[in-house]
Amino acid sequence: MEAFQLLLSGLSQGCVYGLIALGFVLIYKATEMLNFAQGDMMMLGAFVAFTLVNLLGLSFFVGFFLTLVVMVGFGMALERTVIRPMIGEPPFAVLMLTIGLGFILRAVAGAVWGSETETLDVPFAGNVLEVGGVVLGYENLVVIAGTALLCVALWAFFRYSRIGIAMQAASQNQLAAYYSGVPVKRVTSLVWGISAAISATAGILVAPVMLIDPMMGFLGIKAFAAAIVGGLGSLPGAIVGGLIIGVAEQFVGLYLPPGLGEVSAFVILLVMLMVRPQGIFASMQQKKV
Amino acid sequence: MRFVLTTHYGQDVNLFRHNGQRFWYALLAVGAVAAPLFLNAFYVGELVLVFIWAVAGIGLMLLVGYTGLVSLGHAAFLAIGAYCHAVLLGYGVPFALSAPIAVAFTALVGALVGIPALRMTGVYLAIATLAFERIVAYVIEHWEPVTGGLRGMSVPQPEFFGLSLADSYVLYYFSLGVLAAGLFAAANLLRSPMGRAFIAVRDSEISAESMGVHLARTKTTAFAVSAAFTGLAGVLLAHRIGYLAPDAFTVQTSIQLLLLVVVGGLGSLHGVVFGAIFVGYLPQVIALARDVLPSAVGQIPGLELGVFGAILVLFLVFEPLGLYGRWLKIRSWLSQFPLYRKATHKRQKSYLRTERVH
Amino acid sequence: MILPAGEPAPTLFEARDLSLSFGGVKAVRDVSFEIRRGEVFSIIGPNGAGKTTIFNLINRIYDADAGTMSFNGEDMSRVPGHRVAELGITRTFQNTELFDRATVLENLLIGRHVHRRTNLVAECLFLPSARRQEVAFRSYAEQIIDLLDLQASRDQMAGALPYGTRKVVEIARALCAEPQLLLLDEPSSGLNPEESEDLAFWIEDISADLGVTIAMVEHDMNLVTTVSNRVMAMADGAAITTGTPSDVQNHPEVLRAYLGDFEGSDVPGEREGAPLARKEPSAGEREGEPLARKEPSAGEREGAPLARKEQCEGEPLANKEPPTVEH
Repeated sequence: MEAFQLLLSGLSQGCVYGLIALGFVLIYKATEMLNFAQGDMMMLGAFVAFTLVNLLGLSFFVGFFLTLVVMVGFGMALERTVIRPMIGEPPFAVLMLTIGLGFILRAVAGAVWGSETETLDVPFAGNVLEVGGVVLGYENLVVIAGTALLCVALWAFFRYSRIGIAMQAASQNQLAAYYSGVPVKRVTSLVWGISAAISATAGILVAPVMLIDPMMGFLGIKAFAAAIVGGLGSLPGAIVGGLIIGVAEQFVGLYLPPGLGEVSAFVILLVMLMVRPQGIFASMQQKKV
Repeated sequence: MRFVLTTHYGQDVNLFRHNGQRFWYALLAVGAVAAPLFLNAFYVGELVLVFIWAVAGIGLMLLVGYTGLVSLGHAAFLAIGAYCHAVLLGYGVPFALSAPIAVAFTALVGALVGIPALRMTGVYLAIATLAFERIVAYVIEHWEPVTGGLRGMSVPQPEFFGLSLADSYVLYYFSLGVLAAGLFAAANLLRSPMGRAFIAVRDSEISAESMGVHLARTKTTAFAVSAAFTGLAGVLLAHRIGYLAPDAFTVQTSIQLLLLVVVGGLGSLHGVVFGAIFVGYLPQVIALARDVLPSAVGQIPGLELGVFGAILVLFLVFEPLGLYGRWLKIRSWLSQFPLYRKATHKRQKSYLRTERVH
Repeated sequence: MILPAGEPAPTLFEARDLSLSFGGVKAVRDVSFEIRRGEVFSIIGPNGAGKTTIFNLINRIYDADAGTMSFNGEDMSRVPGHRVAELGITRTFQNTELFDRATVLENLLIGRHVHRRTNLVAECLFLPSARRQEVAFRSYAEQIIDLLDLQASRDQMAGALPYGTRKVVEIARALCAEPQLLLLDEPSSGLNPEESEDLAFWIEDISADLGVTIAMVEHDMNLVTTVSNRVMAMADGAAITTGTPSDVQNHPEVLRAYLGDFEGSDVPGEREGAPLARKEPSAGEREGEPLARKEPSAGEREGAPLARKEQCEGEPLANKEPPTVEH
């Protein structure tokens, strides 16, 4: 039974990694840029929701929706102001830029909201579900259900909506998409917006489980590991990679020496890179001439 | 602007092209040697730190600036060099032996980390090195019998000929010598086939391979050389701080090293020195600013890192060539004064060349 | 170029029954040919005929599914990619692959990498051996610079050069390795007529003065007939015929390959005029047509540049026709 509870909390933690990884992969697929500030976008999203719900007293669902809107705007603004001038610069320049952005976001959050941990008021906090002697925290269930819902929504978006299809086209071949009338620049902006919103969702879902503070973005590092384990460039891979890492962490933490749970994500990542560097769902190949 | 009449290809190969350059570098050397005579121990100690940053920076510059491989975990190499050296000294190994062993060991670890790099693009590597850094930090924190765990360990300070590296003046000259030798070695490497192979790998792997560059060997060499320099900096750092604890080597340290190479100017050894001065003194400037600023701003947690981040972003967006690039512009403005055209240094935009096929 | 009459020159490179497919597309099928020492050997054919794939096979970027290759009588079907240059084969690329953030001189010096005899320690200390080697490298590179008239761009960054010069620098870099066989992948594409004429002279110089055997993939029939000793025509991954330029040009199958099945898609000479962004097909596609349609053509996959401005080989929409792979 203990194992089952571990599995559940592992899955819920894994969903969070998976969601951040999803935002990360989305941007990578569309622009070949790595956004190392993804974890900090999650942090920012959580703080925005905290402001709206706790401080301004909006209801949770209204606050949640408004947070998404704010974060889409934030992501797009970020793309427009600092990311777009970097097009054509070497990839690691962009990578370092986003690292810098992460530090800035952390400092700004520290300045605005202080460095104490905060708790987001959620309607489902503290409740538990008892099934046959197993106690399941609502928070964990909500994370899993929320992730599943978001995945379905994203799948439908990319499969059916015009703009979603345009995004796929642009991520496959920007030049060709451009010639076919896809507004590539606007699509790229929107990708950043959506990615920020996904991260914010992760932040809100995880808030009841792990509390909000400016340093929570460090979670993002494990999400990068998840993205690579799943296969960088694969959206389902991001979620699967996140789940693997989340579950592994819980079990390693219980059965192996203390502290090893913390680094298990990285060990898994390095092993994966040695054995199957393209990840579980491979999608990258060699460049051609 | 100076035109040099070259009559032999050997002149082209020389590190210093003409006597003017030789004069200025000699003057700089004299200044560096004489500086401690005019400074008190605190400032000498600060300069030592700058030298250590610079030695580590040479390592990262070779990797990031010349080979185009990104490492987000170079603090790990710094830590490995420092701990390996300190542990060996603790076992009574003489300095003359323990320092080279520490450097060689770091190089070996670097080569091992480089192996996954052979099969993947820079993206994977960046994250892999980050993971590597976390794992090294974990080992240092938990391998208490050897590293002292979270409590840390003190570094034995050996004496030779009555001189101890604990004395900041002695350490100053020692690190100055190491830095000069390091710069010399790196400059030599860069005017040799291997250094050019680094550049080839950075700019086009496919073309490098078709010109006979062994990609795997070149990348592993780059990693090993880079780790060796950083490990050497670690050895110096161990003596500089005298007490090793895990919190001296964090993600922040790795980021500071990246800041060093970016701010200094990617792809130039001059940039390493500029960057080291910048990174060495930035925390002091921030500390001073904290006192001046109103406490609401000055006491922001993470302010220092936020400033690092902001500077990183500003440089990447506005001056990707770093301080050295800026200096080149100023210099050519001065030498061509009334005729200077801004377009001379117009930024070369290279369009994204993808490494992937969908 | 100027080969002695009488018996044919000895074989330098030989390919036997090379085949390669990408997924279901047969890019190269059972192609056999030989390149004789000292000659200029051209491969022609419509886009997607598999010409560049042949080069990539020789260069060991791809593993052939079947067939063998030998160089100087020794099997080279399985040598690693970086050994090809050591054997004595260097190449240029269709879209130029220079080391953009290095000077022209440095590019050429990298070309001499196969002649590196020093080790890391000697290089770090710049021992006399390293210095001697470096001076020797430079003097060779300068000879090539003189041969190809690159003095003016010697110290410029390769990335800042005009397209025509980049192409020449690539040839120079390949020559610096002192190859026995030089592979030129569409050397004249993107050059203006004058530059193309210069190119013809250079190819003759390289062949005559340096004694380098040349194999080239080329669309410009003028250039091909001027410099080639023998020509191989390809279509759909297969070799149609091999012979003298005029024989091949008048071969009925060759004419059909160019004019019959592939209507004007790539008749030599028309290339330069082909607008990069021919728009007609886009109008139809804009109306909600599946944007994410995956064309089988790998030519379309070419690089997905964020905003790459150079001529994009395989102009995504301009030539949708040939379904085969131009690798």
